[in-house]
Amino acid sequence: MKPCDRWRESLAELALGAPADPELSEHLATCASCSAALAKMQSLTGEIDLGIRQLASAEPNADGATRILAEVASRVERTRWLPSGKIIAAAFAAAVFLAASLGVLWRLRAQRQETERVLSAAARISSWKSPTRELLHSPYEILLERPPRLGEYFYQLDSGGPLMKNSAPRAKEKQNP
Amino acid sequence: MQGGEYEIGWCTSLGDEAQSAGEFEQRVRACHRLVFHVAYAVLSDRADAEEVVQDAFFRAYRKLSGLREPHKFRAWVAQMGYRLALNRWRATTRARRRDTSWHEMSSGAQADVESIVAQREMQRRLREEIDRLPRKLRAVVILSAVQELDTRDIAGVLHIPEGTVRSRLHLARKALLRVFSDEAL
Repeated sequence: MKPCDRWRESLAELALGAPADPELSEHLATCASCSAALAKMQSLTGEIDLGIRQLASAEPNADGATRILAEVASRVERTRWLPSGKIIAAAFAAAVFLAASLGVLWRLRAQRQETERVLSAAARISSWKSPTRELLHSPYEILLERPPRLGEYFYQLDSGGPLMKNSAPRAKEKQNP
Repeated sequence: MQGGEYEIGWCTSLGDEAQSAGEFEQRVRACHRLVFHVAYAVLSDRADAEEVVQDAFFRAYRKLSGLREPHKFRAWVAQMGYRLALNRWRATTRARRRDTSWHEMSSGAQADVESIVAQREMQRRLREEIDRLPRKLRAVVILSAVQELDTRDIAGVLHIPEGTVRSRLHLARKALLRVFSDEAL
């Protein structure tokens, strides 16, 4: 009962309700195998269509609508106080916005602190003085400012300390011989 | 549960204010068979189909305010039921595959013994072959099984042109015929 390979597709189309090709009709008149295959395919098509219709053959319960309405009412009552999807979405968006804002503020604050730290360091550097001047400060530095002239002493012993002022010893000698 | 329990205005307290409880009830009564048939065609299980119908109408109630064209409620709720049923079908198929994979291997050998009732066997095989079809073809075949849905309704549920529904249905039937005729011929 195997159909001719050439006509196999056309037989399937014919079994599914497509219009018959005149050439195929001529062939069917002479080929018993193809005729038998067509009959089988038509039978199978009927079974398939019937089977497809039976996919949804069951009927709901007689009180189906009442049950559905009761169930919907019950669920509505249970979920009455739950926030709706829109509210949840809005709350989530607000939380994300808040977190992003806090992040930006924190970043700006950190940047400002960093700037202040750099500026203060720069200010400290600009007002820094070398410690040399302080270290070299001594009571005798006046000697370095003006070296004694000829006939002057570096020290004046009667003043009880280092020479604060250069004096003229020769003039004193003249007054107190 | 008595009908009066849900007739006392709960419908207007939530959801679309424009829709009254009476209107929603009318719509449920008008469309619940259709949604059940759609769900049953997908699931082949009465209890699962009834749960899907309840889910579908609950969602429809919650989203009623989002329905821009109220006259399309029937196609809209049918589409919702179809999607929910499909999700459940996927979940149960996965679970069944996981739980009974060893059983299916042994039950294949017993197919001849179980073929006493030819019609049931044919129906079972057909169901398997429909499940193996590509998703787009399977959807059209399943929805075409529902008597309340014509080609235009199916096109509305699947958001495709009517011509596409017809061509996909033809391709699906041809694919099924090929499977069965290869065995028979």
